[in-house]
Amino acid sequence: MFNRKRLTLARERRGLAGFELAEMSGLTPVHLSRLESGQANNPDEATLAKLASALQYPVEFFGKQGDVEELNVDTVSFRSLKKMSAKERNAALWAGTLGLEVYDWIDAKYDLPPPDLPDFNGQNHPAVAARLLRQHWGLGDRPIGNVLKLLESRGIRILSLEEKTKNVDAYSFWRNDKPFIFLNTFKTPEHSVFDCGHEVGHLTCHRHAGPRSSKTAEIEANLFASAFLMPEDDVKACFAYRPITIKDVLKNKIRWKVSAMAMVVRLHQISFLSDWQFRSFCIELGRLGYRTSEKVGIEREKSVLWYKILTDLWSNKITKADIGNSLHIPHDEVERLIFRLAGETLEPTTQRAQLKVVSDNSEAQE
Amino acid sequence: MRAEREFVETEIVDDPAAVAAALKDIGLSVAGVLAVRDIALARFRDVGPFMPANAAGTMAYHHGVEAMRMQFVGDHYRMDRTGGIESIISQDGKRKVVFQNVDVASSKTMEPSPRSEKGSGLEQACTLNLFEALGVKLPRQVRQDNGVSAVFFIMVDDRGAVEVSRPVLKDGGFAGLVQRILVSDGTDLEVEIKSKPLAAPAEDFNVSVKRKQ
Repeated sequence: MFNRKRLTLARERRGLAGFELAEMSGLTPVHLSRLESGQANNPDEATLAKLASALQYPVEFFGKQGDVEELNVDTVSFRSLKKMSAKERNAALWAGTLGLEVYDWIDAKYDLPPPDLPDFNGQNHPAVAARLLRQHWGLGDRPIGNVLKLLESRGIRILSLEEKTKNVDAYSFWRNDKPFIFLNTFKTPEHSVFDCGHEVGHLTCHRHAGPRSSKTAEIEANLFASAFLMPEDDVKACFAYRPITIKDVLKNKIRWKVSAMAMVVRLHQISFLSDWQFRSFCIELGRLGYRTSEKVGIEREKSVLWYKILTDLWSNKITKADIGNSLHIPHDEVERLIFRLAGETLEPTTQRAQLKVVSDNSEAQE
Repeated sequence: MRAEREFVETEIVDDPAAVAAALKDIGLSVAGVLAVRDIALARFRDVGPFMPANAAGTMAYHHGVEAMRMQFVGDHYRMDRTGGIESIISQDGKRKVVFQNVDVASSKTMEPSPRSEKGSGLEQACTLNLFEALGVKLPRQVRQDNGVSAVFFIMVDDRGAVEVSRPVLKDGGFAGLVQRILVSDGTDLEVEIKSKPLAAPAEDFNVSVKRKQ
């Protein structure tokens, strides 16, 4: 049974407009449009094969049973909704749909850490919520050495958004009482750490807020991330000497694994930098190129959960390609969902070494 | 009239069923003791660099005592602070339970030592026998006072290990233990964050992944 939503999913994941796919598959734009809107009958095998070939998706993908779990843009917390085009946003949302299918597959095979994320909805100030969450997780005021690992240990499921665009940061949502975060690993490691804090802020403070794209929610999530990643007392204890210089910022930011800009914003929030100093620091960091990258960066955090799962699967000769085959998802989509998350793992070779007969008198035979 | 005294070797209870039974005998429960441990441990770790150096211990103590009372005040126990000892006391007045931070708990190779010096009030409640008071060492043997108030300590260390034990106090420390009920060595905690100096980042989180059978 042809599922028209899956056709839309595959097309938008490939970043194609209707007419582009029509051209690539040799169909008319009208035919394609009628297929996607459900006005046309099920496509015949030849049409389906053309579409599958153009989209590089398995034919079986379009006939998979069950509804497509379409993520609603209103209930998903995007980190930077304004910067994104509709095309980028839809591709990112469909990545979420595929990610859920992958996670359902993993869930059926493994017991994963149960969610442990309290609901601080209604908490007046995000910094208070951040402090309460730190207390709940027994972190005190210490910096977090591995944010990704911490979130995974608390049952938050993390996947990658390998969208090759800086306009998509991250997004998060709850599904069946399980929290999900999708991170754009195209960004700097420091940016990803802050994205994690930002999305945890949404998950814990805005869980029941309903549809939103309000600037207030984004500001709150940023405040939460700042306070959660850089506890006030710890920052104050480290920046004990005056005057604070750019050099101090660049030296100390590594402790909390944040960007220089995020560090400066935090220092301003806790009144360790005046408005004038804050402005000067921002200009100076921009001049040094810190608005777009970190000159002295940290190593990207790796997903312990995905490393463990993939290692275990591979020990049973199951590769990422096999996951894709089981779910009728292209291999490259599975790769993109865990891109840069699992780190280096040894995938088993599926090809057997070719044995050759070596003859002593081979020269004589020639 | 003084009650009958006898000498006993330290009794160590570590089998889970025996632990549950032993705690039940004194009106406590495994779940309740673990809940006290969880709260004390959370407070122990929830300290900032600007707090006093002893904040972890005092926070754990204050909230540990509170949690102990919240868990057990009821049918078997009521709140008590006679002689300045923050405790709960059994309804018949024969048994007291106090909260105590220790260096190491639930270890069979090491006996716990209190993190703070015990006061004279508590020492009187957990007195020594005559021989030891005169300087005669009786290793591993302590006096049990039948018929008078027995004082049990819920002892928690910074790894999350917890035991409920009945010590004898001397010079502000434990001279020996009548009974040790080893409730948990801390491995039941979902996330183990080892005790480190405040400056060190927290990163020892446990991401448990198990293949379904």
